[in-house]
Amino acid sequence: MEHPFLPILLVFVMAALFTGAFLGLSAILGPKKPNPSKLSVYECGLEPVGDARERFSVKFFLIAMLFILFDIEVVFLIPWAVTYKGFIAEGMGLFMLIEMGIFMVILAIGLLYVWRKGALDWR
Amino acid sequence: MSEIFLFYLFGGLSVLMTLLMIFQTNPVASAIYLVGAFFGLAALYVLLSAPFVAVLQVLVYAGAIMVLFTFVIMLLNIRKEELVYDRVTWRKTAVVLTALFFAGFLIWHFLKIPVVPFAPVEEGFGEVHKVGRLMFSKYLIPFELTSVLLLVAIIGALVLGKKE
Amino acid sequence: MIDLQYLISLFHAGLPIWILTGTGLVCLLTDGLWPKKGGTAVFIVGFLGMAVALFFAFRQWLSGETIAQDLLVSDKATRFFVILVIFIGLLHLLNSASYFRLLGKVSAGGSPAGRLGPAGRLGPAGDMVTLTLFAVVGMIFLFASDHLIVNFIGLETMSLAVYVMVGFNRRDVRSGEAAMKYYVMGSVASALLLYGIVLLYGAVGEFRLSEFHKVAIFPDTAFLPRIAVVLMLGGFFFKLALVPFHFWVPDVYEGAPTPVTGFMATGVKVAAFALFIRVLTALNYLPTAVVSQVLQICVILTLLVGNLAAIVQDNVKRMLAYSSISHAGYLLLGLSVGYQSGKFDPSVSSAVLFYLAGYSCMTLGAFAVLSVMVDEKREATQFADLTGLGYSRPVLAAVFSLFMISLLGVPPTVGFAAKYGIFSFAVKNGFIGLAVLGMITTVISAYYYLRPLVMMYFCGAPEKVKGGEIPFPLMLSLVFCAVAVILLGIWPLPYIDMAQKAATAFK
Repeated sequence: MEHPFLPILLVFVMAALFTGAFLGLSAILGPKKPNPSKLSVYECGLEPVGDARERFSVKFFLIAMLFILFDIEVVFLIPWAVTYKGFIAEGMGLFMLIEMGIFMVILAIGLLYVWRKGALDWR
Repeated sequence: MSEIFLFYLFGGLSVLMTLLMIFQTNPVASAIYLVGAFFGLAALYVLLSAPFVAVLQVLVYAGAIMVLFTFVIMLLNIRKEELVYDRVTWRKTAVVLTALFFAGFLIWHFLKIPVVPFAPVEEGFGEVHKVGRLMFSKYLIPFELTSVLLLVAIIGALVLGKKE
Repeated sequence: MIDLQYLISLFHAGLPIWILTGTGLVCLLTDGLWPKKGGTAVFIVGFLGMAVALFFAFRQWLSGETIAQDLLVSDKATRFFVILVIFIGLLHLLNSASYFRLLGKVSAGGSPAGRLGPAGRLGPAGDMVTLTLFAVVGMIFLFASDHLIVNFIGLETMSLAVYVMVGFNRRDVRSGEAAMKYYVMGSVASALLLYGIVLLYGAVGEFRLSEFHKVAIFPDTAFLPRIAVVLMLGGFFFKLALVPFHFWVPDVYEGAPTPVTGFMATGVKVAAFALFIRVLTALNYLPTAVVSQVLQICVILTLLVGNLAAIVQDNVKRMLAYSSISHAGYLLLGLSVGYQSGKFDPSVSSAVLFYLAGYSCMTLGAFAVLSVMVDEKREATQFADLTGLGYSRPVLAAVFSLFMISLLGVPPTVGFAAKYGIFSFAVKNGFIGLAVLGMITTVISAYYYLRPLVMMYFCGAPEKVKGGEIPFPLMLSLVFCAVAVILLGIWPLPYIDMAQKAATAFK
């Protein structure tokens, strides 16, 4: 069976096998002489474990939100790029360009709006 | 035959990951299991000859939306002691039983549907090329409407999320 | 596959939509380019754009020819609803234009939603105008297509815009809470609806409602469309706020900014009903005979719960929330009497269409009055706040009484004409029981609709004078609603004729 996604599956399987094998082997074979400074996450600097009550700024959230929305825009660009050549061959290249242009302009106005409203300023 | 095996493998994987996600007390670990579940689903889409949807599943869900999830988790910053275990009440039991009843009802009826061998899909079905052709010609209106939907979401994120 | 002819017909079929979308973009640009003082400009642009769209929608209605276009339906029924939702959008713009200024004027810091204008006053909020425009675009797509996926994207566009509008009042915790509740509940409803749509596709292999008559259902799989229809009904009932799915309504309606509540109670409901009628008509071709019983049970529950719960409220907005639930019940009654031996006859929907138009006018009017009721940084919409309004603000009290009487359904107003239409169809089609129940609950509703009148006129003078002018845009909207309520009440025939023409387009 020649499924086109077989290689990708194989990559995943290999990756899982290798990482599992190396982690397992080093756990079994490696010498273990723990002492407190070895067990700490960083050799110097802050104690990494503690009260994590400091709140994140809502800014991160806004940026992540906008990232998703423009990410989805990119998702729509992929099939357009793939099919564009075929459409040109059928004489619909201009139409396709305008169609995608409208889509992009609508979202570009959104970007402009976001920018002018100062949501991208990092203060 | 191998396809059946793979279906059960990935189906089982996503069910397992989803269960692990629900039963985790650490929200970040939950989120990671959710990524696992998304990957299982993506593999199922591939088996259903919908590779484009599979790629979207990984790109958008396992990628972008998970970023947002982790942000939200960090934003909320739940402490261990805030995660109080619920007590079993009549109301919750009723909810669970209703859900189980509905699930059982669905499964029972789905099993009764005779298995009809579908005609094999044509060459290249569900690939980016075919999806793109349909999306940009026949489904022109919903495609452009999507940009309006995204725009509304952008405005919404700004109106509700921006600091005054 | 796509040629110029196709694009031209597409352009003509959806002309009001394109105008609205374009206006929305221009509003966004204006707001983006002049973020400091764009509010009033955005409002004017949005208002004019909507008016132009309304003009073209009317022209489409008058021209009469149906443009059958792939994925975009432009028949009489669609045009009727397009005109209706654009009207609702316009009135909402007028209602909300001064609301944030009123809220902001009394609060020292100014409302975050409004922008400081040149005179140091808070102008209308630009974002609100833009969101309204896009919400109306979503509403139109919600019913102006017979392709369920397009409908769903339209629904999501509308819902997203409305979620944000509900949470617009960021200084008010209740507004945020309402937005959160509405968002979670609305998402569940959307998910139910989408799952139903997908299962329906699985059963019949068709997203186009107009193609349903061609599909063949095999008895082995007949349960699939049934499950799908149950899920879809769940989604619709959420959006229409019918009783088993109504529990979010009072909190959300109370917490949302008052003009937005009016928009939700009318626009969302009108658009959802438009699609609902289309779906019910298409379902005739599927083995889903139980739908009529489900609808009837839902009508009975909605009428009883909506009307009885409204009695015990002490906030006018909350009371109006339950009132809108019970009005959705009357509307559903109008649809459920269309079932004859398991088949839905869409011609009964003419009464429902007329009811929707009348209901929109009186509800928007009532919420316009409440939009003025702002006192010391917050909305003053308790019943107690109405005390003596008849003496301190006689005009406001008079029109509010008019809307209450109309909501109750007393003869010279549109409420009576609308209810009469629904009940007469019910009696004609042999649903005597439902008609009697509707009349009894109408009598019950007299208690809570007349209570504001008692508070305004017979409970003594106000403790303090809450004078103040009515802002011009709001005045415009009040006058329009009041005139419409009376005009549609005393001379309803032309509009009933319109509704009948629209209803025959459902087939």
